[in-house]
Amino acid sequence: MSKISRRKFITGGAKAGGLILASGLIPSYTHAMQRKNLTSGNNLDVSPYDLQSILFKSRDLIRKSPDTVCLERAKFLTEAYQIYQNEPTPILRALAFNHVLQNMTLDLHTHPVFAGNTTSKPRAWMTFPEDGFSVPGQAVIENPGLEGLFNDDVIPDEIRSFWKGKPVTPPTGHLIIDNKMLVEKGLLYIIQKANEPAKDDEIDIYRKACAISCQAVIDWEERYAVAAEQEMRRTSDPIISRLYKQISETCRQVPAGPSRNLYEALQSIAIVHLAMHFEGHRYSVSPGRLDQILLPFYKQENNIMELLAAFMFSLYSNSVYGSHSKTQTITIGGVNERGEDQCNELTLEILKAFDLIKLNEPLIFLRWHENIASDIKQKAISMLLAGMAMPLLVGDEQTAKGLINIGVRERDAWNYAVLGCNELGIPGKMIFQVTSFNEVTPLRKALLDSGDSSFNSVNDIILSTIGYAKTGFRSNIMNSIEYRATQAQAYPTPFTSSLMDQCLESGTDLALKTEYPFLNLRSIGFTNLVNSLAAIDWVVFQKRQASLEEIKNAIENNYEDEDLLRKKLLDAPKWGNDNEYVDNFALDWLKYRRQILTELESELDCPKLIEELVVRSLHHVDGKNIGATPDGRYAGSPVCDSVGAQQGTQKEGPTALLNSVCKMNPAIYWPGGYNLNITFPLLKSKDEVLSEKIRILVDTFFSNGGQELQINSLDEAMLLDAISNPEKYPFLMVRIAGFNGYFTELSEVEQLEMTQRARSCSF
Amino acid sequence: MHVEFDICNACGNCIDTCAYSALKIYGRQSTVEEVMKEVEKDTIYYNSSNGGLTLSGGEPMYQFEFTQALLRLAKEKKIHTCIETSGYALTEEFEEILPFTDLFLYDYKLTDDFYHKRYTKKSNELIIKNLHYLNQKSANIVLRCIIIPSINDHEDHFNAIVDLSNRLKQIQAVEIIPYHDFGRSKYKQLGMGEYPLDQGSVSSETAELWLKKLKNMGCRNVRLGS
Repeated sequence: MSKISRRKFITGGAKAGGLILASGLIPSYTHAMQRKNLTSGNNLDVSPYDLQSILFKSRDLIRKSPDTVCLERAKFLTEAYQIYQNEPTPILRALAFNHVLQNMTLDLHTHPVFAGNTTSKPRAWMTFPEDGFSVPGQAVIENPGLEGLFNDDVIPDEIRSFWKGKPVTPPTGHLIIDNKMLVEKGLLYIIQKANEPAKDDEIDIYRKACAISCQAVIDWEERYAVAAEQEMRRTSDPIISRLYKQISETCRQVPAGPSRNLYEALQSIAIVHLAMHFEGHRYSVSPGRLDQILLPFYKQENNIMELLAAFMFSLYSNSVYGSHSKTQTITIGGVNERGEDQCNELTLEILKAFDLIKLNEPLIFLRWHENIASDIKQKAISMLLAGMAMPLLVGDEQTAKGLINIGVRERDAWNYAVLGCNELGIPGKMIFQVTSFNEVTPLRKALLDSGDSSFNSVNDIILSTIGYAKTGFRSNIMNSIEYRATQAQAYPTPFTSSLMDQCLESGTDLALKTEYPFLNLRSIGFTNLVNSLAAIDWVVFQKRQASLEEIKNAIENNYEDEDLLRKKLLDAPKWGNDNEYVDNFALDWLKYRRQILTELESELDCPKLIEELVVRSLHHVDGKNIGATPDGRYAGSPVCDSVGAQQGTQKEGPTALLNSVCKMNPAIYWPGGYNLNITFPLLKSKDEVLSEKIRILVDTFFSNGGQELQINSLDEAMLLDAISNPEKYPFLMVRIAGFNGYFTELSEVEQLEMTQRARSCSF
Repeated sequence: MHVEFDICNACGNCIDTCAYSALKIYGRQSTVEEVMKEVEKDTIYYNSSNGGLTLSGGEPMYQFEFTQALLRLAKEKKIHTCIETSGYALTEEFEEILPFTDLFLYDYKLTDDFYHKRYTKKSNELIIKNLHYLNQKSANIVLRCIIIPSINDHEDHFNAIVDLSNRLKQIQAVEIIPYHDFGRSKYKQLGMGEYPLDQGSVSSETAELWLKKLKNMGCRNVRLGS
């Protein structure tokens, strides 16, 4: 079927409505089903050397490309909204999705190994009228130059005015579809399911939207097949020509049908991944447990590592927010519910592929368990001590336990994957729906707004804080529920939903319901609250160095002329140093917090509330809006970058930090996970003794109750040199809080932050 | 910032009045129980890594009673114990801590007593005697040899190290510690006057050469330490 005839077909559908469209899908369906009978081809027939040189060339091209704006999505979406305005919303969204995909510029040059591109130029920003054409706050923190990207003249008036008054929603995403099902069965299988008769009209409409959008992706891939055939004849490079030939063959098999080899499986996952961006999912669309999904397709071949690197590159090179990382995450390793190691050949190949291509995303999370293979642990630790800041580590035991605690079935819990900075999900079953929950502002309110001057102990202050916290949490939770409803109603994503369990059956959008519909509460300023409570108690009630009134005045005036009082507060014991006195404030607060949330769960009749700590670079964004706090933190300065010690307050070494954190039971108090930054010195040459020590430290942390650990190995002198001579360090990688970045591409604020971390690293 | 060490009596009042925490007193008074409480916090890591408690310096034998009590208590708690010592203490005192000490990191600085006296102000006679005593009593010993260019990087001293490593069967390993001048800034911060050695840190290449040489000379279980 040609591109032109399909366009006509869509236009016809607009007049006649959804039913005709659905029946119109059938020819394409049988067409592709026949191909299923082809014998399984070999993987990509290109040598490792050739693949590497293609990838390196493309990577360097992309890294040199400036951030620009690609208007295509907004333009075609707006067009489609005008054509299909009378359709029911799910059908309208599906048809608009199709219209965008069938009209987008195809780019097979930037990345000639896998089909799929999100923008007309590399490193351009996709355009989402659904979020009001905004640059996310963290993107500006990470690169201040991005602030004016969508200034008035960039988006044409006719597009802006069309969307004026329509709902503005957050960037959704944060999900892992059932990629195992995708590679085993293909999209035609879903269309077949979608065409089954439904109980009521609403479900029927939603299912039709699912079928239309799945077919849209198949047709988009067909466009690449045709384009690759044309390019194949045009190019004079025999290797590129061979690649295009394979792309065109592969695009005719997947994602419509089942994948028959590793290359097809990766192409299928990649194209569907990118299609989800077009549907409206921006941050943290993650492929899930790649080593598990791909294992059935694994054969020993000489270019497996390069093929995996090319897949990672496909996710990296296809931007949503230009150079701003979209925190997509590959999960590897781990054990099953019987504690059996699930690492396989691909686990190591994925680590090696990252080592080869050195991208700051996709992020690689290694599920750590005492039972996983020792060669995987060694490889991970050696990469980390060499300064790769990858893989990030997530502890199987506590993570799975936490999920089981909140009601996830055991088998599903042990199939968890990380789906963003460090958020948790279950492929096809549990997405991450977030609302923030600021923990330190309620304390400021208790001190400054309550007008209560009768606090006789820190416990009185905590009681008042609980009251403010409850009010704040309640309003955020209600807003979030409303957002979800708006999302599902105004901007449903039937394509992505059809790849989640149950959505298709129930005809419900994933924004409203997945198998495990939880609401994640993203803690802000946990460490600052704990340190503040301890500092007040220490200075006012234990040491009697100052009055509470003096502290109130000091934080109200941002410590102006109060350097000495601030020093006293800073000198009070701090969280993250294995100090019983301050750590008990943390443990008590966690209990109060859980109590507040349990009360709210029953009061609001809302989904189960899941505490978690996810930072990305939001410690800066969040900190900007929070006044001075009694831990000595100035107004507007960052809150803590992890669940560990506040910047500059870790004095007792790494085991003390880990011991403090391990006192909290994450399975009960952080079931949505946390991030923990730890810094080691950079290892300039191989040191097996030290590597083994770190391996033991990590093993012990996780067996002692740790949930997540992200390791930077830094050398202060090298970082300072990199600031002055960026050209010398093109691949110097660091983990900031929830994302990884090339050090030389970070903003000044973040470079300073990392340099300070290098300086204060104590090992 | 400048401290008049001549008139400073370490009262610490300046610390409280400096809003920017530029001054600090290192070290604090502590009881054996307090130290043990701190040590026990990391028991889980000692168990997984064959780690434990190491008393280092200054010279722990200089505070013999405290050292002995701490080692005894650690052994009661089944924590592996280790002491890093110059060896300059009464043989009877080593005898007393022997039952509670799993490993001795034992300095061996200079073979020629004339130069030992010049650089350390003390004779090495007692040190060598104690080393032999510990060997005879089957203590586990790691011989720590700091090597300083032009002071003790010569053939005679190296020969003596090789000889000890072969004769004293309780020496588990010989560690070559290449000289570094990290002490320079400490001298300044503590107002200790002129730094007595005027050379810089030893390069890793030189350290490797020493190691190779000692191996060739037949030194048993020799490695680089830090």
